[in-house]
Amino acid sequence: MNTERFDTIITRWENGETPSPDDVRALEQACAADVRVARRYGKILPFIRRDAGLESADESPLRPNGAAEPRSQLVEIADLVMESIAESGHLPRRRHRISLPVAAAAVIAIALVGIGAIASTLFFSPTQQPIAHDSPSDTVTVRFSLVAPEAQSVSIVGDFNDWAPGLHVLAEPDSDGVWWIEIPLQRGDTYTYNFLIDDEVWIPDPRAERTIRDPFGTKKSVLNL
Amino acid sequence: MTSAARRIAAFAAIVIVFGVLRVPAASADNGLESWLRSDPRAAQYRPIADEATELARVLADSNIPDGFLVRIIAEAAAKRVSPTAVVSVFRRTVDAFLAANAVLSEVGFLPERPDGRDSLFVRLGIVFSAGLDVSVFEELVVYADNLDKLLTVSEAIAETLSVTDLEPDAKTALGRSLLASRLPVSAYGSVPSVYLRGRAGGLSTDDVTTIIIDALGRGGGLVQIDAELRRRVR
Repeated sequence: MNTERFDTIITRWENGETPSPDDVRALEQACAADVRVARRYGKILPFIRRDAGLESADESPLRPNGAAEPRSQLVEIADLVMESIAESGHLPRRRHRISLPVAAAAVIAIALVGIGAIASTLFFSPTQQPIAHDSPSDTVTVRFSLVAPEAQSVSIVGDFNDWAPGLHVLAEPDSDGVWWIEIPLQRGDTYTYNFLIDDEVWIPDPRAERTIRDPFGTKKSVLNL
Repeated sequence: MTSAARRIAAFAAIVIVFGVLRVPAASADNGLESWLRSDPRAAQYRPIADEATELARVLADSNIPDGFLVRIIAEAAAKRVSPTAVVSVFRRTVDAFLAANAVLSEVGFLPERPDGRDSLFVRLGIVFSAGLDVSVFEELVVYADNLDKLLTVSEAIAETLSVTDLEPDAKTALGRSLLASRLPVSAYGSVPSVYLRGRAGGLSTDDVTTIIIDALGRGGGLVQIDAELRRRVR
């Protein structure tokens, strides 16, 4: 695939130019069509989408994790790009004038689609991580999940619960190996955390936005809200 | 009651009221001391309690919040880290905070609001404990236009350290080239993935650092870094 057009888009973006929605969609489609393109542009796609006014980078599921092995990391980035594209729905633009009842109906329809999307995220896509559900208050509800089919128990332990193991235990309601929990957190804060499997194995969140070393020689995840 | 007695009684009441209000305020100000005194997990850290309290007071003397020390000891308790290791991290953190506080104050980057300072020292604590040397941070301050840019580049380097080791000189050079580049701040977070891809392609960490610095130095961005990476990996 010829990536020249996309290189131009990204170079312009780096120079402060706002990418057009059409450019972003073309980039998304190219990522969906070609894993190599997804690898090349997947990491910065959410930021380009945000600057184009299509989506907040913070809400993007494209959050590769530095803790994974290099090759599996690349595959994961590509997989996440595929997931995000598969789940994003774009309504066709109407450029001609429309009447008030039609506009009202459209608004209701969009609202229903939005509610459906949120419901879908909440109940049918438990592997996207971590997802912040925005609200006008100072609190943001964040959904964490982990695929751990062999685990007997999974809890999340971090700055938000004073590193108290067992305070936030993940549930696995469908017996599909996907453990999850939703936690209300303070907007504007930075948190670090780990998953604790079977009360003995500490791991960073494979889908976290950022992973760092902790001061004791292991790795943990970072969440900025 | 005479008027003098009434005045004394009123004064005493005021003193008592302020005294009562002051007690919780003082406790709230010293988070680590409070944690060591009241948290059930604190017993295992009794051998270092005095030094830890003293280090928290050193921070307080410089108007630096000690909330990050509470985060460290709580995490240590959960992960069953020894008291010796914890106090060692405390010493390094306090030294780093004092140095960062001084240099940020010098360049006018210190937030005046207490919540701004809380947030700043949490972010600084995370990057320092992740392996960013305070000497590197002090050098980068000079090249940053603003605090957010400085913290974001520090976080990018700290995150890179979770995928590969970098010598202090390489950290400084990488940070300087990012700060001097035309990359938007939001793109700094891509740096760790560049290292991952380079390493996955068989390049050394030094090679990847050189590729990034050269590309940014020539006025390039992520596209040019990626192009050079692919050329070298072939």
